[in-house]
Amino acid sequence: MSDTHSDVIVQLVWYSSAVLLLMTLLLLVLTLFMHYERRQRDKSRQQATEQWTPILFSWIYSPDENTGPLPQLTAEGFGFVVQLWLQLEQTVRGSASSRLAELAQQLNLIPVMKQWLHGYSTDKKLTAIMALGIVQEKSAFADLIPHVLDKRTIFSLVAARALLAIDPKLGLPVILSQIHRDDWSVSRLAGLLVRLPHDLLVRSITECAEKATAKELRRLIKLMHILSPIDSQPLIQQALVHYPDEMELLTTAFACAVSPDLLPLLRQQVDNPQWEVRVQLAKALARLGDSSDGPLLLKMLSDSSWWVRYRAAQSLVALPGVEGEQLQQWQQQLTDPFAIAILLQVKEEQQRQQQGRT
Amino acid sequence: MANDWLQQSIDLTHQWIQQLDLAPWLVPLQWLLVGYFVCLSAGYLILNLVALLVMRSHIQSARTELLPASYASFLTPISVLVPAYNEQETIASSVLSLLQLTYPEYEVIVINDGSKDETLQVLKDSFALTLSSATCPLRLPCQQIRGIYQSSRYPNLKVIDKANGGKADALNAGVNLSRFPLFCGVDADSILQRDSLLRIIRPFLEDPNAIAAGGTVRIANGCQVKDGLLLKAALPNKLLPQLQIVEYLRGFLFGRLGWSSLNALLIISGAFGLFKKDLVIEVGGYRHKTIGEDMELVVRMHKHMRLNNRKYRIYFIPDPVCWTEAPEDLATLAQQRVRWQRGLLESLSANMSLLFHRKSGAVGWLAFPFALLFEALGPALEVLGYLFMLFTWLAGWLDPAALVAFLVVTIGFGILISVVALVLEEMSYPVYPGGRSIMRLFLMAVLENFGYRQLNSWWRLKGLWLWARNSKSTWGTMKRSGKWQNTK
Repeated sequence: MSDTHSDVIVQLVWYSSAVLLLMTLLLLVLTLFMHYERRQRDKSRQQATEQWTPILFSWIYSPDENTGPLPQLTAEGFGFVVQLWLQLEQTVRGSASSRLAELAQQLNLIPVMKQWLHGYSTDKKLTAIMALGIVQEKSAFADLIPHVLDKRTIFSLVAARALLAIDPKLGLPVILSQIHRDDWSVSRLAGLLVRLPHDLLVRSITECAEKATAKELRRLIKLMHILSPIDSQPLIQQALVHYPDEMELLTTAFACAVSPDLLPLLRQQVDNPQWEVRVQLAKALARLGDSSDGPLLLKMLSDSSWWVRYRAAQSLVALPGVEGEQLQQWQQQLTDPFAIAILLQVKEEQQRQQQGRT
Repeated sequence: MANDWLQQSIDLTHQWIQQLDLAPWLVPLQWLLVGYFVCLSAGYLILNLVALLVMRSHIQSARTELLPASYASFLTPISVLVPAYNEQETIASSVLSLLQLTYPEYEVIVINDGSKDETLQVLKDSFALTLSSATCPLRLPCQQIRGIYQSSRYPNLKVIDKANGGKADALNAGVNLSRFPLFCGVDADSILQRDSLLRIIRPFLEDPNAIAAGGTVRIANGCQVKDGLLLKAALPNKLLPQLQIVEYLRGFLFGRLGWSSLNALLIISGAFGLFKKDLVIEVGGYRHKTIGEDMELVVRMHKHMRLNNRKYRIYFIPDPVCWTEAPEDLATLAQQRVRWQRGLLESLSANMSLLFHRKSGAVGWLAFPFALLFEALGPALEVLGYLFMLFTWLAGWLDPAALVAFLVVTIGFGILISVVALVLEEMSYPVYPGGRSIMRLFLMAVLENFGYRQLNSWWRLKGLWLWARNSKSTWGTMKRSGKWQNTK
C-alpha cells in the first residue's frame, strides 16, 4: 500500500471516529431526554389516577353530586381512565354498574372503543371488546363476531363473553359453532355459559348436537355434563346410537352417564373392540348398574386387558345391592385364573383400605 | 536500567522480525482483519437498527398498563420449572418469589437434581413438603426419580427429587411432571419480576404459531430483595458486575430483539424462557450431552420446524424481567464465559445441517453463520487482531498514528452500540432510577474497552480451545454470594 493511500485510509478512520463520537453523544442525550419524558408521563398517569378515582367512585355512590362537566382528557389520559373504568366495572354489580355505564356515555366511550376495535394495538382491541361487552352495545354485535372466530384464543374467548353479554340468544349459536376448537377448554366455556337461562342452554346445545361431528358431540356432552348433567343424557344416547365406533366419544359418554335409563345401551358395548371403552363401561356399571349386572362384570373379569379386568373387579365389589355372600358365590363360579387373581387382588385392596380407615 | 533493558528487547525483536520474510502474509492478513471488523460492525449496526424499529412497534402495540385484569382468567396456564443443584443458600427465597407471581393459573415444579447439600431439606422445611403418590409419564428421558413431593402449604408447588443428571436432565424430568401446555424454565438462583409471566405470555396470545419466547435477564447485584420480592433496583458498587450490566443490556436488547424480528433468534436464556410443551416433547426435549442446553434446544426447534416446512415463530420480549446474580470475581466470571462459549459451539456443531440449508431461511442463512463467524470463531480472530497489531508495531511496520486511529474507531464503535442498548433500555423497561444511573452505565460502556473486553476474548478463546479438544463438559462450581436475596 502506498503512503498516500495509507494516509487517506487513516484520515477516513479518524473521520469515522468523529462521527461515532458525535452519534454516541447524541444518543446519550436522547437517553437522558427519554428518561426525563418517562418520568413526566409517570407523573401524569399518577395525576390522572388520583383525579379520576374519586370521580368514578362518586359516580357510583353519589350520582346527584355529578352535575358539572367532566375534566378534560388527553388521548393518553383517556387510556388511563378507560383502564380505571374497566377495573372498577369488574368489582361492581347492579345499579353501580349502570352508573358506570352512564359515565361511559358521558366519556363518549363507545365511538372510541369502536375505533380501537379496528386498530392494530392488541391491548386496545381487547379493551374495546371488553368495554363494548360491558356496556352491552348492541350496534357492536356484528363487529364482534369476527373476533369470536379469531385464531387467537384470548381474542375469541373475550369476544365470546362480550357477545353473550350483549345478546345471549344470538350470541350462543355463534359460540357453539366454535365448539370444535381445541384451544377452548370445555370447563372455561362452561364458565362463560353458566349464568345463561337453562332453557336457552339446553335448546341451543341440543340443536347444535344434531349436526355435530363425533368430536363436536364429545365436547358438547362434556359441556352439558358440567352445566346440567341430567340434560346430557339425550346427547349420550345420540352418541351411542350414531357413533358406536368412536372410541373417544364413547369413553366420554360412559364417563358422563348418570341416568340408569342408558343401561340397556351401555350393556351392548361389553364386546366393544376398544379396551378403553370397556374400562369406562365397567366403571359406569358400578355407578348405574345393579346386581343384575354381576354376570356381565364377571365376564369382563376374563378380559384380555388388565385394566378392564381390574376396573370390572372394582365395580363388582362396589355394585349396589351385592352382599358378601353373593360375591363369594360368584367368585366360586370363576375358572379363569386371571379373573380369580384380579378379584382377589381388588378384595385385598378393599380390605386394606377399610382397615386403614378404622 | 529497566528502560535500557526494554529498549534492547524491542530492538532485538525488531531485528528478529526483520529477518523473517513475512511481508507476503501481512497484507492479506491485514485485509482479513479489516474485513472482519467491517462485517462485524455492519452486522451489529443492522441489528441495532432493526432492534430500534421493533422496539418502537412493540411499545406502540404492547401498552401493558392497558391490559384489563379481567381477561386473565382466559390465559393459558403455565408450569414453571426450576432445576436446582446445590442451591441451599438461595432456593427458599427463589421459590418464594415464584409463588408470588401475578398470574391466574400456574404451578411451580422444583427439580432437585441430586444435590449434595441440603437443598431438598431446605425445601421440605420451608414449604412443608410431603411425599406424594403422584406419578408421571416418562415422555422425555431422565435419570431415576426418587420421589415427588407436594407442598401442603402451597397447592401449586411440587418438588421432584431425582438422581443427578445435569440441568437438561432435570428440565426433562420437570416437563414430564408438568400439567400445563406451556412451561417456563427458570434458574434456581434467579427471581422473576412479579408480572413477568403476564408479559411473556403475550406472543402466545397474539400468535397461534408462537412456540417459544424468551425474556430479558438483568443483573441483581446491588438490588434490594426481601422474601423473594424485588424491593428496589439499583446498580451494584463493584466494578465487575457493573461492566456486566452493560454487556447484558447489549446482548439482550439489541442482539436478541434484532434476531427475533427476523424469526432467527438462536438463544432463549435458560434463566427465563417460555416454551410450548408439546413441541419440546416432539423434538426430544433437552439434550443431555451439552452445557448450553438452552441454546441447543432453540436451534434444534428451528431446525425441526424449518426442515419440516412448519409455520412457527420464536419471540424475544424485551420487558419481562428475570433477575440473576452476576459473578463478582474474575475466576468465576472466567469459568462462566468459558462455559458459555463451549455451549455456543456445542449447540452450533450439533445442528450444523441447518447452516445454508435451502429450507433454513433467515436462521440458516443469517443468524447461524453470524453466530458461527462472529461469536463462535470471533474470539480467535479478535485475539489474532491484537497480536497482529502488537507484532506490526514491534516490527515498526505500523504507524503509531494509524494504530491509534484504528483503536479509537474500534472502541468508539463498541461504545456506540452500548449506548444504543441504553436507548433501547430506556424505551422498553427502564429499571434503574435517575439520570445518574444512565451516566454510570455510560461510563462502564467506555471503561469496558480497556481490559475487560480483551479478557472476555481471551476466555472465549479458551472455551473455543477446550471445545476443539473435546474435553469433558462440566458446569463447575459457580461462586455465588446470595447476599442480594436477603437484603433488608
